Amino acid sequence: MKLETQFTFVTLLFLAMLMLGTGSFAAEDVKSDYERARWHPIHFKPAIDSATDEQCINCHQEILNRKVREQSPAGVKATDVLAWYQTLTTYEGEQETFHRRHIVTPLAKQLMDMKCTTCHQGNDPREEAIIPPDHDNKNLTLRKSVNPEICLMCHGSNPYQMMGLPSPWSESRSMFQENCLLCHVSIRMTRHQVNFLKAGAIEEAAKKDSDVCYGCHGGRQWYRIPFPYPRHAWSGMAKDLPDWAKDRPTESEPRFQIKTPKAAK
Amino acid sequence: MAEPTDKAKIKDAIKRRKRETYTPIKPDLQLGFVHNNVDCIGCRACEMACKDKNGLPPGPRFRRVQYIEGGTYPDVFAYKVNMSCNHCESPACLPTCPTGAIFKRKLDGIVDIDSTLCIGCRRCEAACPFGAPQFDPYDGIMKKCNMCVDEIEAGRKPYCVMACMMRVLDIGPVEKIWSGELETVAVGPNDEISRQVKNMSDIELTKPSIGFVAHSKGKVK
Amino acid sequence: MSTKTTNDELLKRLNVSRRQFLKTTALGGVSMATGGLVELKTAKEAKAFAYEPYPKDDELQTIVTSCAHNCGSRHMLVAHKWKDVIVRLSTDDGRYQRGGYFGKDSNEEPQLRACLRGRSYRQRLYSAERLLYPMIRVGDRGEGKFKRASWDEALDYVVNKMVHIKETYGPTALLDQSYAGASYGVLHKSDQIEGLLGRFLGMFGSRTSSWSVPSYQGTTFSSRMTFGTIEDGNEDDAFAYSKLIIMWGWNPAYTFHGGNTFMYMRMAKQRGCKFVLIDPQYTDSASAYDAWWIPIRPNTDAAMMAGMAHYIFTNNLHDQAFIDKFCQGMDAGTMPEWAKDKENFKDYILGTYDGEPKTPEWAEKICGVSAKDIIKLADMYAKTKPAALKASWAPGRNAYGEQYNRMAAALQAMTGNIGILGGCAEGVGKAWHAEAVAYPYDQYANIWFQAIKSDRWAHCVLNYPNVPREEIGLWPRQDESDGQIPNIKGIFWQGSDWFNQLTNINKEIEAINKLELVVCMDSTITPSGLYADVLFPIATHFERHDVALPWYKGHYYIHRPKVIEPMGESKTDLQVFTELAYRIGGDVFGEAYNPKANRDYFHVNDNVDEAYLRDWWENKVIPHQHVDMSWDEFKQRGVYKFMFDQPHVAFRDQIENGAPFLTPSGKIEILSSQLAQITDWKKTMYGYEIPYIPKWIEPWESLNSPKTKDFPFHLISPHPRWRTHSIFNNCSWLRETYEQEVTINASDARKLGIQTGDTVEVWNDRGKCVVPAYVTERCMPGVAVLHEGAWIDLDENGVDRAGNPDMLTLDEPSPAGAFAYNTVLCDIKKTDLEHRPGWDKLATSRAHVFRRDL
Repeated sequence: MKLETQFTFVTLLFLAMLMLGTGSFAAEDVKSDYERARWHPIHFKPAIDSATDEQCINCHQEILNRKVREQSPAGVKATDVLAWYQTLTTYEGEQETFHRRHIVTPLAKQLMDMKCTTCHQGNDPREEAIIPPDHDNKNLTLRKSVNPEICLMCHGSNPYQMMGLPSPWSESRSMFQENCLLCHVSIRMTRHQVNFLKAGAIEEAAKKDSDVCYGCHGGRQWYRIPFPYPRHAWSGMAKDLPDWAKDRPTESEPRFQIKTPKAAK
Repeated sequence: MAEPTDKAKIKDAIKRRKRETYTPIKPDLQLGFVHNNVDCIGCRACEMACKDKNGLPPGPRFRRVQYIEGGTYPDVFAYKVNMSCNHCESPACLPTCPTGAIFKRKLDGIVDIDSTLCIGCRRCEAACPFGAPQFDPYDGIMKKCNMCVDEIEAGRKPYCVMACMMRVLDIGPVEKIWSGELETVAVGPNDEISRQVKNMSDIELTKPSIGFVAHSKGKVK
Repeated sequence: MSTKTTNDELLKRLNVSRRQFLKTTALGGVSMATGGLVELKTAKEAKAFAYEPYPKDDELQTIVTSCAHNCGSRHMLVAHKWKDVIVRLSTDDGRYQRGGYFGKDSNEEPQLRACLRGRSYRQRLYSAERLLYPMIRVGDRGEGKFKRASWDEALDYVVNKMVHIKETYGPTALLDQSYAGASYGVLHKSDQIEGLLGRFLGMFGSRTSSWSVPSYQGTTFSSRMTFGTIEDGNEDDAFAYSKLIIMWGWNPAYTFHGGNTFMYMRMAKQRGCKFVLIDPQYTDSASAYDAWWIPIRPNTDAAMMAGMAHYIFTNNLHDQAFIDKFCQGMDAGTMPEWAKDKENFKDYILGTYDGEPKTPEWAEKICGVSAKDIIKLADMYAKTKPAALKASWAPGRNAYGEQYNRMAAALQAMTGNIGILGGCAEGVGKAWHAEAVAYPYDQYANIWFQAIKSDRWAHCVLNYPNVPREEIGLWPRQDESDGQIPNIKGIFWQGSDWFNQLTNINKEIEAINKLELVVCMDSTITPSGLYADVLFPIATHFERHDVALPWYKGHYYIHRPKVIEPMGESKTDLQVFTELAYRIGGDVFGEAYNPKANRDYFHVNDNVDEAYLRDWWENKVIPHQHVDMSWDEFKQRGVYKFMFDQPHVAFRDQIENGAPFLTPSGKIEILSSQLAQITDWKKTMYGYEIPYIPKWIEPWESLNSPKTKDFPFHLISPHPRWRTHSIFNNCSWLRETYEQEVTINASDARKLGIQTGDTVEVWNDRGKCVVPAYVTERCMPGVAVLHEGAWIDLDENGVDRAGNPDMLTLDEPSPAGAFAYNTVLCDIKKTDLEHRPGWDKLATSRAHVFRRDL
């Protein structure tokens, strides 16, 4: 009977969670149960702001351990499949899970420095809705444990019209020698200065391969709109703002800003 | 469930799309859900009907009735927001799928999934702004609402709609839902339709095919 | 895949007007409903929970049946079957009734859509907790250790014990604790009075019956005294005509309360009806109907109502003509000749007798509702016509709960809201008298040798023989055995998880060890079952032939064929009792108990069950209820829905045509003739005095009592939405929809340092349980809410880790028999004690003991 397997599975999962919980966070909760664990303060503001990856992974190891199936139930082999965006040169290696692509695969390690809390800002275990409803609080989104606008930063569309390209990058790339930096070497100097990206490594890699840029600026586009990036000032910047930039912030969201010790005056 | 021939077609389609921006299909007609947030008693018969219809184990929930409340005693309020898959105009799940398991039907705009093609990378789950695709930890694959296409094709309505004890959940051509032209008891005589309610993700991300009768405290200004 | 035509069909349905739609699809619907079974082109085994392959409904066999459990409603379930496995359930979609078609959902014949519990039924049916073989206990009671036994062995064990107990201890030694948990079918029925067990034990000659009803004895008593009947209910569609609906402790969004009541109330809202909720909680009913919420201290409802009555009387807002014509004892003018020296209700309210006018200000001090709000509501109720004051059951499950219900009836009567469309005299809410019994209901039915208040059995067992009769509510007898205290030595549970569901579980645990035989007959293991000596596996209603009917609202019958073969070695309860009868008393007992059957019935029951049901339909239903559908057509369609010219309203005949009420006086008895004439209360089943007019009586525990120093919270335990009492507690799908948790107000929680999700212990001097807390502004301060029915799971210290509130309840019923479930003070604190909520921990369900492969 399938149900039995399910019972067993859940029990094992639960026991595994308890037995493996040997870190500092879990130590205090050795006698804990699932109910207590899921309501642990680390899952909520403000404790989640200072939660480390180690603390999260302590219980949620499957984030790193779980790999894709070798083949689908109908026999489609993972090695045989390829998505349209995976034709970018930056894709390498086998099919990977969503979480591993963001944390442990080589490109992720080379260009990014994502923490669990970069995306996860806590959620309500009851229904993932806010009490009371507050549309300005984007940390809790109905049915979702992550605000998709975080995803939008790297999975939005390429606003080629705004950039003045004649056609989508996939069509006009050869016109620009397949090189983003042809133009962007002189437009906008402040790039990728956020704490979940390795700005220097990105700039370096981009010099060699424009797919590195395109990957996050349209080449892995899940959503139909582009992300309204903050408009940091740069030298040589025109005085008049174009219409599309008028509502944009000039700084990244505070929690993404790189905290460097300010030089004493 | 897709026929074997479809799988070959899908693979071809993937090849053709190489180095292109993914372009969503424009359906002949877009079906969508409509839910009355105010009159819903939150009984979750729709959820149970869905679990049963799809034979789901504990865990994945295609449809979820969310309980929302606020105020300070004794001046309080409560309402429900009920979503499954919103069968978006531009679904975010679809372009993420490396196997082509997710597809949008030209006929009615339903975003269907053939879970037998799924390798369980869980990208669609992450990409969806509305939490529709659900991971089945027993089978290690993603599953999601397909608006009961089998029932639609048989000329009936999906299980959740037919389960609603209060008759506050329905389906219809989404343009008619939004314009208020759809004849449905889910919407009362004085009700207006909102495309978005508070704390629902930005609908511009994917243009979800859903309408709500929003609670006064749940309306987005 | 899809064809253009079928999509067009759907589009028509979505776009065209309703009228057009009727024309175009009427024919199509019929052919769909009767469409034959298509052989699936797969050799795969039929599996209950397969995701793929994905058989379509039209490729499966479709069988109309219903849900079965004790919610009072009875909605349709449609089984979609492949081979002998139900792979899917749907519900009424309008196709199955006469003249039906897909989507038909008229106000006269609405669809009977099942609730979440019914929709999850396959999880109960195919659960790991199913009992599939007879079992005999090998460990201690409650330990949960059993061995599998043959039917022969288990039946003989019970027979020998029964005979020994009867011979040794006499005709009161076996306690009948049958209840409506397993079924409200017409043939296989568990019930306190009409149940199969009662007839079996009565014929056997040893039966103490349990007479009070846990859910609604307060309102039963009130309706009997006031109206002479418990059929005080309107049909559900009558609610659509109210201009004001006062939901007094009523949460149809959780209980569903029959037929389509909740849906008609939405219709009322759309027509401009105003709603009021009087309840310690802002329930989902309040939000869905946009009700004015009046939070009230639990167990003080009668005081608030008295305050309303005072305002109505003193402002001359009552309907004097109605009172004069229909009421007895409402005021001095309506007192009968024989009672001229008795008190009348109006003068009681005005304080004529005790010098204490029951003003709104007086009530405010007791119930916590401001006098201003009491006046506002009283004014609304008196001036809005028609108005429905629905006095629900929960506030009656209290110390002196019957006074609340009697007081409500007085308000309903003084405003003239009885017997009119849009008004309400509920109460119990039973809206029809169904033909409900298809097995022999003859001179052997309901024979009893003593009868006690249902939640006093443990008290009786523990104190035998030194129990004053009034303490156990002994029902009077007309023979020399009157007043004899029953010497209970055995219990039968049929369709009943009463050990888990009655009050003061710790006292029950103490008492059960004094018994010599405990038999549990159920489809799944239950917490009660763990304390049984023998477990008989009973086929569910999917596995036997029967007819279902709603108990209180919704006028219809649903056919319940044997959808699948009984699982494992399970048998129907009628088979078990018949076989026990044969084993105890040979052919004489066996044939008398089940006259249409012979000895083979234990193995083959189809023809006999069919004969009983056909007989019932043709000789009772058709002639008595003017049903014009043959048994064969009923079986083929699966449902018969009654049609009425106008919505059924209780007591319409009395008000419109002057028919007498079924009371001794023929009037609405605000002054009860029966109660006014009782002199020796000890010799009544009540045991203690009950006022003959409705009065406010201070309960033994409430937020107004000094006991709040030790136990500052008032605990109430309403009926949950995600279980029917304790049934379905093991279903993981339903588990996803809720937590068994204690609800407390946010300001209380701040004082206690408790946040939502914290594990807390809830305790008083009777017991303790462990649950997570849900902190909300939607609950009145000082009140804790913990839903009844969680399966107890005791630790070594007797603390319930699953959160069953009956660890804390008191087994002392109200004089009229109402269980005092909601008269409980307690305290709450954060805890480190172990919490085991259920399915995902195996523990609560104990599934490991009862796996089908062991």
